[in-house]
Amino acid sequence: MSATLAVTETDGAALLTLGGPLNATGAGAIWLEALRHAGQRNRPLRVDVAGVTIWDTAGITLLADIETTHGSARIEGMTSQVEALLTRVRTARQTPPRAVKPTPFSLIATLQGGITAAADGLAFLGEAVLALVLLPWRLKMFRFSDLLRAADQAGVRAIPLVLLLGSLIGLILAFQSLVPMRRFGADIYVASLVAISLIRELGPLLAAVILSGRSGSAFAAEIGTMKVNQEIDALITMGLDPVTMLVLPRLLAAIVVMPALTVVLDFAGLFGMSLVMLADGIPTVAVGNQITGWVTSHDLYGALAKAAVFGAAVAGVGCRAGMATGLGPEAVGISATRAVVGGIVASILLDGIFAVVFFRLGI
Amino acid sequence: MAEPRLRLHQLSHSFGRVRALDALSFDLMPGEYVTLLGPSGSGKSTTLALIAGFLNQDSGSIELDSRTLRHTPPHRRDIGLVFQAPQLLPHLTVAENVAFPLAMRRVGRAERDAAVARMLALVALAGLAERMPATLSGGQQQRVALARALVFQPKLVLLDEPLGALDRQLRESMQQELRALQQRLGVSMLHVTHDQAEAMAVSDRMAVIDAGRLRQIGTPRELYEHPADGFVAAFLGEDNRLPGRVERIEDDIAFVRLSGGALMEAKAAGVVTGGACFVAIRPERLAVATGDMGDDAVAAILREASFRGDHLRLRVDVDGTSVIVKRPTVVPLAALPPGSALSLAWQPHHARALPVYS
Repeated sequence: MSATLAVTETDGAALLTLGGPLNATGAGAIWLEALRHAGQRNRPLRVDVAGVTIWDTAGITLLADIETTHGSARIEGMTSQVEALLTRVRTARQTPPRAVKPTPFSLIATLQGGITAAADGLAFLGEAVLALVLLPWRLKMFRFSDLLRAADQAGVRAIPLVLLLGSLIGLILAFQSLVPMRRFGADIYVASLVAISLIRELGPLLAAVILSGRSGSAFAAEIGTMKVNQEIDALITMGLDPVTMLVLPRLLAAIVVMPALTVVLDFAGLFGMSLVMLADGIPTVAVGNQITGWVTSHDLYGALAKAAVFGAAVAGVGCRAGMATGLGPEAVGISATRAVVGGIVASILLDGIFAVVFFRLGI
Repeated sequence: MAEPRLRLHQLSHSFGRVRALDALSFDLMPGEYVTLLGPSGSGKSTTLALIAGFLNQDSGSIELDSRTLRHTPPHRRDIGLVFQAPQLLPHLTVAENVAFPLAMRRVGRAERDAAVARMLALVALAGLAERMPATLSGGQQQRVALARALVFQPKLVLLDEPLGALDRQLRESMQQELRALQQRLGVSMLHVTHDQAEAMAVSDRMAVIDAGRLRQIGTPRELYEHPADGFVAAFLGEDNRLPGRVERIEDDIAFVRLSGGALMEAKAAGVVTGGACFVAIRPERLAVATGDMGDDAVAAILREASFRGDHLRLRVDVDGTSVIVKRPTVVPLAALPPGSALSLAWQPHHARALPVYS
């Protein structure tokens, strides 16, 4: 059985009698016709719904539509449940949810966004540098215990992971290069190859990736949670500088621990490489001689400088993501993701710049 | 007339494409308690953030004692702030927390100690001065936060849903304390909340905002009894709406032909002769009687009567429209069976005729 609609006119007034199931299908079938009648506003309209057998929200919405279209339609024959539903639909309609339009992809908007983000990043860098310069006058705000806590979190507690990943990388690199090198009888050079690539490039870079994943995201989440909870606003109103209080300790901690992590990672990598060499029959003494013969102290110092800069970049990106956290419960998660991605991208970009600079300087 | 303590003029702010505030203007007089009331996302917290200085407005101006605040950093604005969470510094005692704003302002130790003791006495925490914040209850922590916001005698105190995290009973007693404290100290306060009962309980005036626009500002009574539009009426408690059409308007009184045929009077609020309208009336303003009250009444059918302790709540049906009636429990209506015929009547100045789309 389908929904029915009948119209009777008496003395210029219209009576709309609805019957049958007024669910999505039923209401849909008579929708346009019902609204056409409701559209004739010059005559009083009564709607009789006593004959309706099945109701759902679609039917109720039709009633509400008839009401708004006509303006003063009277609806009769409703049970109290239907009436209650109608009231809810009416209330729901008073505040229509704003339609969310997906923003179309536009190159200009993307560029604008990129430039704004870069400018924001520069502004943050400026703030951080300013805070560092003004630190002697703000020593009371700077909490040394926070620095130690961040250093413990980012440094000491990362050592097991750094050891594991470092030795694995050394192992893998040595193994992969050993196979082709042996064909040329150049097994022994695997030691210097792995040592140079580890100490110059992979050490600082991998340490930065680990720092970004472990601590960059943690910084963003900590500061982001404080931001969401208005803690940062509270600090600002009390005249405390959040950059000095929250960002500087983390930034300095990262700068301090990164060279140390790099050294640990380098040694773990060399250890992993020596294992492979030993298995190939090359004694550790020969490996050691190779390394000391090829790797200069400049390689190590350059790498440590790089590591410190990567640490600053990762911590800076993480803290900035935290400070820029928006509103709402998912904002902190977004910030943490941004911190990790941004930290890794920044490290690799900086590594490229270092490669050019070191080449020019002949290091 | 005195200069306003705080003046917001045509304040607008957007987050990206979303317009959070749209030309908001109002004044707050010295010693006045104003509540900013609105649903979530209406822009009330944005307003507060602009006044406090966490955000910079796109356009418009904020003046505190006739001095524009645009380039003043938050901690130099001479504004006290209380947030939803107490935001106490966890490593300082209660007294040290309250003293903090004074220390930042380089107030001398003796003067500082005296001010802290006075403030803690005012918020009834004198005995807890040496405790750490973590050992206090939520309500006590919030009082410490309040003391901290008041101790440096700011020109204005902003309260951002300060009682939102407390349970209901505590919230109600804190409302009274807050109001008493404000009147005693004569401090100007701007309080943001989405709780209309709280707003009514504490404020001299309340401003209802929705979608970044000021809908109405006035005393709680004005807003409740003479709401400017349907939004304000619905936001401040239950409101009945009877559909009808305006037949004629005489001296601000609209004669409305209800859809059931009865001709009733109501104050005209933006309606025109011949236009479709709603007669809006508060549930407690409806007089109800059994049987027929004659021409000045509307026939209704009782659907449900429920006993609510301090009042009796009736749901009646007027020509297909559901209407809520609240009466004192002494009225012997509770015993009536559903389906009984009733009559409703009201004083013309208690009802408002509003245009349909408001």
